Amino acid sequence: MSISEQASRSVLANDVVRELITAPTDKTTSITVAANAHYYVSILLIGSGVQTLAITLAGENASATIAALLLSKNDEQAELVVTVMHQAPNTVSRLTVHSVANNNSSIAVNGLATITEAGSGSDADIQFRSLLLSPSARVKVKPEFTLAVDDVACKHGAATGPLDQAAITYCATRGIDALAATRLMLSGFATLCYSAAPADKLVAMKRRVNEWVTQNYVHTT
Amino acid sequence: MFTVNNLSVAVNDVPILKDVSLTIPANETHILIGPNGAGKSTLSLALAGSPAATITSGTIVWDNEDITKLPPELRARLGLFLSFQHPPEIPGVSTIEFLRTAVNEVRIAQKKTPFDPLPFLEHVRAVSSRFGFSEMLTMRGVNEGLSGGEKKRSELLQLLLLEPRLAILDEPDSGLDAAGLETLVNVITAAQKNGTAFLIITHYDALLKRLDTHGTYAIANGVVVKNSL
Repeated sequence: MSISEQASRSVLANDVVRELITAPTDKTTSITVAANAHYYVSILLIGSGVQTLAITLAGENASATIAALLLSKNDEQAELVVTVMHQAPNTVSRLTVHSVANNNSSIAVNGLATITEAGSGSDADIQFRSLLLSPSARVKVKPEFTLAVDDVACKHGAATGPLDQAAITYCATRGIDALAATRLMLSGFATLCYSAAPADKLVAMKRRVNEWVTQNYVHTT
Repeated sequence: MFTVNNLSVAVNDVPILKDVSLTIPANETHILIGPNGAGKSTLSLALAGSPAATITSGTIVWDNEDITKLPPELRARLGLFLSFQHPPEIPGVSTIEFLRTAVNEVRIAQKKTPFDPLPFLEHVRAVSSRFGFSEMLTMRGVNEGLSGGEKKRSELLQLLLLEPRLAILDEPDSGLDAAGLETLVNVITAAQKNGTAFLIITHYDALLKRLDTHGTYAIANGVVVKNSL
């Protein structure tokens, strides 16, 4: 059973779990990760919907790696909310979200890592990257930390913008036209979010992304 | 014969080059020298068709075809190659996939059979092995995380794979160590034997002394002031 089909679940101590979420559930999915357990989740959201994921790192040395890709077009509206609660010492979280918005679509991404008083020595990282494929597309991201202790490592980064025109020109000087370059670059942008996916789901996931990239009309100017 | 006639070029509406003329016959290697800011890179971008360099007057004619208004991808498919001084990184895009796409676009345009993935991989490995390129160049995203010298080597690998008729190299020797310079000489020499003509922009005698060349152009303040043909 996939995570998205049930509201909550635990990853047992010393266990390693990889999951894939591919459809927004419009309700909160809660995951509790026990000591020395590692939880990997890949989220692929294509189109409208809301996905909320709440992860609790409940045991010492627990970790969570969340890699998400959101793709929207036309008038679609998508939202992803991820909260990670570091409730034990030396816990680690990695949240990476890549968003691609085309036409008049909009995407909102909220990431919150909270390190409680019990979370000393923890490490949290939030990275958001977004591509706007048309002037009227919108992506709003909000990386946040709430820290109750000092001896932690936290960093975040966020970048939003159009496709890199210098890269498109570079491709052109190699014989690759703008549309093919754009598709190549979008596929590459998506690739960075495959790292947490279960191996047996990877091919289907890539196929869905490539279909979206190929079928989606792309503004390149 | 690649001929540039009275070419004037602007960048962001600022005139950079004025009435530049030069000729590169087939199979010949010519050098372009000049101080920093003289317009050498702007000229290379204009010749390759980059939208960053706007041609305001003059023409570029290649084997009797006026390519002045041809977009860069069509120039590349005709066999024109530009080695960038600072090639951009394209994160996440597999270098092998990028290379195969580029090579096949050129091969299809030139009515050659495109490579399937596996034979192409073998081809890249063979070329890399022959010239001593590290596998690291093709294992990452395009230019992703490469040092300056590694990026120069990546450009050379692309040159070898694309087999252009004319290659413009914008300071291919800057930032290269001794081994890198040796590789550069070997690549240029091999490509020359394969029929590639060159326009090489450089500041260093070390490279020039190692190459068979046919002429030198000097540029200053956007004007070609000397050629020793």
